[in-house]
Amino acid sequence: MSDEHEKAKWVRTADNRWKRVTRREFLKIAAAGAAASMWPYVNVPSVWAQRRRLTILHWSHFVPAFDTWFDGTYTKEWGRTNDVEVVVDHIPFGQIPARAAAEVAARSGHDLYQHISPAASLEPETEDMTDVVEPLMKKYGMIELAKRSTYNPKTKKWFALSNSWVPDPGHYRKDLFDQVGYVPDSWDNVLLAGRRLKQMGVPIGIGISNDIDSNYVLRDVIWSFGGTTQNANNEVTINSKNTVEAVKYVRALFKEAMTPEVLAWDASSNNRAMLAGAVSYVFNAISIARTAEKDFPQLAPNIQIWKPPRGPNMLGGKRLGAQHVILAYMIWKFTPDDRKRLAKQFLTDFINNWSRAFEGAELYEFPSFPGTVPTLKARVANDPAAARFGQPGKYKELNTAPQWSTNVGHPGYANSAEAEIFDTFLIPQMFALAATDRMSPEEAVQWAERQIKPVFAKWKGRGLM
Amino acid sequence: MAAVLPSRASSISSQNILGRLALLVALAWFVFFAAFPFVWMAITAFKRNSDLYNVRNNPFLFNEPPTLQHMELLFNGTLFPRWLWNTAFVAVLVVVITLLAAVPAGYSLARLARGWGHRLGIGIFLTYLVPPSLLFIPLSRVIAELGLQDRLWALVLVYPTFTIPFCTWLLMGFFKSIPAELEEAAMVDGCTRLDALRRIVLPISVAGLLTAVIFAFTLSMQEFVYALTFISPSAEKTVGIGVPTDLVRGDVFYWGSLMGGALVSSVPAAILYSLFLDRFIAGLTSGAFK
Repeated sequence: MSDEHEKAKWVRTADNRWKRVTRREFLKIAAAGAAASMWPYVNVPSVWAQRRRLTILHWSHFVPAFDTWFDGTYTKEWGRTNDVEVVVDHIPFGQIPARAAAEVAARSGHDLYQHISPAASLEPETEDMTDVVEPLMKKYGMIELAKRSTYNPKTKKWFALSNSWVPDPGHYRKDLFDQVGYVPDSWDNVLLAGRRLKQMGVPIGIGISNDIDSNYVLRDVIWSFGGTTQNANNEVTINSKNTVEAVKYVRALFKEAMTPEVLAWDASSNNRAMLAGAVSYVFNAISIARTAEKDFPQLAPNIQIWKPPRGPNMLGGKRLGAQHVILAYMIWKFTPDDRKRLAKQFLTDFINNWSRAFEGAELYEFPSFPGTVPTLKARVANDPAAARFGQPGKYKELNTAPQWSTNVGHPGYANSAEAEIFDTFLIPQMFALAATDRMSPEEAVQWAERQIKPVFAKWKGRGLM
Repeated sequence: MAAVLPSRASSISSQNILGRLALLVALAWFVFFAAFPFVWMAITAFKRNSDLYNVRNNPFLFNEPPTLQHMELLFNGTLFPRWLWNTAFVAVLVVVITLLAAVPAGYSLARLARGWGHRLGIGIFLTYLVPPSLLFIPLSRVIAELGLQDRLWALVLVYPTFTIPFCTWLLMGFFKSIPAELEEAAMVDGCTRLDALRRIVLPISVAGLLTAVIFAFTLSMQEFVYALTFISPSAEKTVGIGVPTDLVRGDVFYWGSLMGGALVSSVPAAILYSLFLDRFIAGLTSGAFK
């Protein structure tokens, strides 16, 4: 006891007086404090189980203010009106498929799950959205690429509802292209300008790697050269003279107008390289131009937006580009019926109010139901942020985006096989094999066909296409 | 002879100088290798974007005055302090659970399993090599059945699945390096095996235990896949998933704040390693030379 007394310490008690405690008492107090601090982790508020609740999973939007508006204003207003607690969670866009797989495996997850790329392979796990989509489509119309990314004509099922899509225009350094005397209006011009721009130390920056941007832009090249991965009847058509010419073109572009960095391109590379002044031409959503307006004011007026280049006249001279992002909500089949109804009601109300979201997204997102934003063309043609740099019409080319944008899987639907080919990056790999001379262009296209055909056979066997 | 001696002495002396120089060069390389990530994180966390993105600037220097705006965004614009606390909460509990399981398991395999101990140990270690990217789907079902989705307890339950196998294997090697005669002498003096473990083996195994603690702690801190798939509310996230969620927005990366987050969360682990470096090395190597 005397030993313990010698080891006693002074502690402050609840009534703010000091008291001498033994080591044993001190440990008890410390343990009680630790237990108290853990209480919030152990205790689940019972109110959670009692209130009507709607959970939504979103990507982290490139415009932070959009998330602030959606999480903190719009969903709160909707929740108050409908007596529902709305909870919005966010994850990085690259992790959306993994999280979806986990929710499906667990048969438990968010009531509304937002994807940003084709997700048709999840169709068997999703609720049919026909009762939500078709009334909205009658009221507002629907962009074709949104329909082709969320509807399965074989099963006649709307497996998702797309609220918006994001155009993928070219961003080019107008000052530099003017110096070499070209406009990136055709792929030929891009190569001709790129040769000189590379000598000037500002090469072209088109990714040839396993990343989402490469996945889109390399499809643009195939389509512009008249090639496709499938036809409208879901038959594999990649092995064509047109695709071989597209691969030959990208190989030449890689060797003569780009640097090996494009083989390690990731989702941030376009933005980083363009804003650093290290490249002269990329394909991206307008996040580059918007970031330049906010953080790089000297550079902003020189970065201009232009539609995708035309392909060679001898191959049809098409001008086509994939959407950069297709935002679409799914409702899991295993979601309880009352929450499915709530989720569908939320979506209907959200689309009816989508003009507010359009403003919040700073022209980044375009409506899948075009009638929801009747002022879109005027708004795009006169942008206040660009007007600060004396260029109010900087984004006006985006008004033509519905004409030159299409879905993954063009000219067919973004079906399960196309979604899997997209997720496994087979198209960038085909281009990389030829660009790095590991295969000839013809061999690379044959290689891609060998990879793609079993994927189509698998999904056809499952009755989804 | 007299002429040879100074020459040999000078040759030995120049060999010494060369040896020391080589040692210093090697040391400088290792210091650079170890410290560079921290220096890079610190520079980037306080650099202005216009400085960071300018490829003509020297990336190792502040070419423009430093800024606190990235740290302000990190601490005021995100739930970073909360994520730090969540990470510490999970890591400490995982360390406790790991030690409670790995110490008896490692000891049993080292002392009681006879010829099977080594093979069993390797078998247990192999389970550590199964990647979380394969396991997260079946484990999702387990977590959902237990009602732990979106709660930190999910991580407290799951993380020991990779910390226990590794630490068991580590401690098994360490316990093997301790002479069995010490415990036998204690048992001759009347101790039970449990007493011998508690009074003799554990006190002289502090180096091994600390190694297990540090590994379990850092493995828990840096985990990503399980945290991503089992936790979605921002307030429940750990640093590893919270930072990329809020600071990678679409294709826009907030590099300064990302580096600030990495720096602040890695410093405690670095200090922990430094404080116990000698014991950590002893813990790692003692089993290796048995």
